[in-house]
Amino acid sequence: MTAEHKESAVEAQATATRDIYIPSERASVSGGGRPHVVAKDFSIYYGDFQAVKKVNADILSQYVTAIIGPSGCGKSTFLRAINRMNDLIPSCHTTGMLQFDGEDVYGKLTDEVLLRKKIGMVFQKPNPFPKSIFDNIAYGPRLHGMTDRKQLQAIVEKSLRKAALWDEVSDRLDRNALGLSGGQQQRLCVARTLAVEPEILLLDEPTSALDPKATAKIEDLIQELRGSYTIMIVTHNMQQASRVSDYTMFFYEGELVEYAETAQLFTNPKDRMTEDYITGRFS
Amino acid sequence: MYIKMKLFRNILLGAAVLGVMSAGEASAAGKIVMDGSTTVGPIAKSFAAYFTKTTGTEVTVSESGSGNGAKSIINGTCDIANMSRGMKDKEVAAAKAKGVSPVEHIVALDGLAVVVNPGNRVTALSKSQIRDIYSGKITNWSKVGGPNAQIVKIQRESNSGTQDTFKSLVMGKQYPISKRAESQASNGAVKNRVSTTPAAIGFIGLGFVDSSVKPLLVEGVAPSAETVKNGTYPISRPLFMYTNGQPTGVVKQFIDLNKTSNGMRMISELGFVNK
Amino acid sequence: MNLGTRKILDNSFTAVGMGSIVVMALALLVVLTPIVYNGVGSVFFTGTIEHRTMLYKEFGRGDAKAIETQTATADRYRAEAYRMLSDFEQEMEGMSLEASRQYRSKYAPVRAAMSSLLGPLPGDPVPMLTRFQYGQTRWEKAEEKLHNILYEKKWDYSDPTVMAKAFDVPRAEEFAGTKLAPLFSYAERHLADMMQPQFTVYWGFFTDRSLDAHIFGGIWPEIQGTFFLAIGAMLFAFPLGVIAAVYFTEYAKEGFFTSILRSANSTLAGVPSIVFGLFGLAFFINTMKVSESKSVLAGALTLAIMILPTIIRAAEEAILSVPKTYKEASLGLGSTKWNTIVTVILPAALPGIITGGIISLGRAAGETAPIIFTAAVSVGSAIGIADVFSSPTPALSWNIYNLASEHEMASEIRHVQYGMVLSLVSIVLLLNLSAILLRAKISQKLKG
Repeated sequence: MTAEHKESAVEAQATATRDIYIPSERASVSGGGRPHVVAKDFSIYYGDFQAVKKVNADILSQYVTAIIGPSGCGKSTFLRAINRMNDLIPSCHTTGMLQFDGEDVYGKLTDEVLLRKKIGMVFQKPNPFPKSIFDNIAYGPRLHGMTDRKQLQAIVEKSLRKAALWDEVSDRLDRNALGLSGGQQQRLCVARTLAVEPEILLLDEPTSALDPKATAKIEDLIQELRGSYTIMIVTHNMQQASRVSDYTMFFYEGELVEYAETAQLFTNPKDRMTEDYITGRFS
Repeated sequence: MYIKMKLFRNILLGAAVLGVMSAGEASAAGKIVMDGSTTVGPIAKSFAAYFTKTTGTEVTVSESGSGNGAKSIINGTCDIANMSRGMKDKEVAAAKAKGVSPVEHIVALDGLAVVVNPGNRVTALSKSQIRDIYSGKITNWSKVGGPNAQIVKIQRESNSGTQDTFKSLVMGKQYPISKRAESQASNGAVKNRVSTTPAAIGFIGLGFVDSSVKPLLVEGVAPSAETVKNGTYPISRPLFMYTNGQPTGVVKQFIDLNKTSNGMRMISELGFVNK
Repeated sequence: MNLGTRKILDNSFTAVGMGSIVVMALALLVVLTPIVYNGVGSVFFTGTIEHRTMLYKEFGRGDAKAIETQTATADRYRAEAYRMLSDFEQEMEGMSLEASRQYRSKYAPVRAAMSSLLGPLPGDPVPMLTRFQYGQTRWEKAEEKLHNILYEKKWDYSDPTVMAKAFDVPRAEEFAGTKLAPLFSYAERHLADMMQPQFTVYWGFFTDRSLDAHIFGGIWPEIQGTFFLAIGAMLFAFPLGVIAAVYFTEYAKEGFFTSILRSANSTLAGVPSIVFGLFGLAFFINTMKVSESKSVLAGALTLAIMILPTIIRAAEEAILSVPKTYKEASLGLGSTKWNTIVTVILPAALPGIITGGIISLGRAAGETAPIIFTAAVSVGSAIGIADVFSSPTPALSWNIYNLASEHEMASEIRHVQYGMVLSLVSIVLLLNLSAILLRAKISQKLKG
């Protein structure tokens, strides 16, 4: 267990009556904090159904932002809109404005392929390709034109080290990635995303398919990456949100109900709905 | 990708091996493509083997029926059409329309043996009896001196030159063949059916007759090389090969085989009759 | 429903299921046993000296010395039989005209049977056709011919109301008292001496060309033609089919047009193969004129059209079964759609695609109807790979049909027909087996 986990465990005891965790004070990130992703009256529709309703928010760079809310509240939809993964669903369309680094994500001239290179994503279920560990990590760099074996090796090592997986797999890079455990697979997916050197990391419930031990490792990893990447994480698990994030967004029925610093949102929610949710009145 | 490349390589390798193995037998001096009658088939196949052996020219023979042979020569997809009947006016017209001028070559004569199962005591029929049997007027062998058994009539399919010959030489226009008659696709198939069906009657080229079936005397004449040649056997016909225009080169050489002594010997060994 | 009824239902269903599997297995056994038994007989059989002589003369194979000594031994025994024939011929010269005529008509079938058993008799001209230049090459056929020498098949016509039954009459009785009489017991006693039977393994059956329309020799041109046609069909159908499947699964927008295309594809898969054959003739040969005559090319194209729907369906299903998460992962890394298809989806779908492909390959190898009018001939040499664009070829499926029904000596060469059937069945089984193995191998590679 890391120091941080002990910390939150202690706090958990302290606040057991309210059944929520009070996050620790978190250090600010130097050079971070500019609006990286900006939503202005941003709505997402599936056909006629409005899944995300007029969201206005600035996601700050190099911090970790968690998105919480009950099932079907639109939190995943919002996350997947940021790198346009929703394009895969034919009936999906958007209104309003979503900007990444001042550029319109849904602009007519925007190249979604370039966009996705800068905004990486890790999914709910670990999804390594049925290839070797090496080929999995090298997939992105190769895609973007890197062919030199030495360079690729360097990138693979760097990415695996960043994802805290190097020590476990350095001796079997040529083995099939599907032979790894679930937690290792998920960290491999993180490493694979890091290998293309994105600016933003979108994590869509990255630990929901993992056991507690693997979950802890992923959470540690998020802490390691904080400050280097803008991270957004969708999670069902409020404790997780409070442990890993600097800011938290609470979605309910497609609306962004509350968006604040994590400590504040969990200790002193402004909205009644938020309070009900984080105290477990509904889920 | 790696797997795919390997598979692809294996396929290529396989094809290459096949190619190398067969390269030695690649054609040398042109080729002749023949299509048509199953009756003329044995002559065509034997000529082909002999011709390839003596001249090195590759010859391929298809046996798909006289009608298809005619279609092939009209469409220009064969060099020689084997036919066990003459070309019909309609076919000649179709050929002319396509700029093909079919030229007829008689390669041999053939008697159409009317055959029954050897277990049938009937040994001779007249042409009118055969006609009555096939038109459905006589349905029991007892009417023509045989045992009490329902006659099973075997005919050829409409594509067959043998069928056309039988219709024109035995039936005539006013007696259509009964719809009850069963169709078989080749001389061999008719022979097979008759040899395994006690009450069957069929008609096949003289070259296909063997001990498994019994050829009948027609108008008192047994089908044989002599009776076909001297014209006493009533159901005989010439066998044709058709070319587009007067043949030249290897095709002419091939067509003329039937005039050489070796060609004539092959024809008689096969049970056909030299013209 | 109470427990008792449920159990009875379960048990009776199990019984019916097992029963149908047993029936299928038996049917397969009934079909395969004669195919395998007789087919193997085309390679492993008891061959006579005639077989060895034929191989030596026509294909230049065999041990010349051994053949010479065996021929010498056989000829010694044959000479005795020939002497009896000529003695009897002389005896007939001296008979009364009536007796001579009677004996001559009885003697002709004996002579023919002897010639069929031993090859051309002394004094006969050498026949033009290879089939008549040799005696029986297989021992079981020789025994059959011996029976024809020993017995005359007669039909009992005594009851005019029923079909006659056949019965055998020993010829020895008919020729009793003549100089031919000893021939029959002699032939029966010395058949093995005259034919020199010997267990033979004739691998050349698979690699030799056919001789005199399959009466002797092997089936190499047919085997090769089958491979050319099947592989040719694959070369066209496989890439096209995979591309079409990619289009259907990844590019086509669901709509009226797509559903029309899909049902057209399903319908095509159910069209009888003869329709494709006629289409191939009308379109590829008569309209497109891809070749002057029937050709491997035209046949392969026709077969390709025939198997295309199956390949499309198999590939479509294989692609659809690739987890959506692979696609998401690839796109999430900034891959283009095309790149995702080529580097992630197709490799993952490969086992399914290949299985579909190889099963189609087996079908292409086994179909007769599509190649009757477009590629197959009953007689032709093995063609070179350069000739595939212009030359037709023999092929197993068509030649099996040809030998079964059209061949003028079909009943004499059943073993060739069975050998072809066994070869075709083996080729198709081998292809399917390789599909299974390949699939297993790739699946394992994908699973890690």
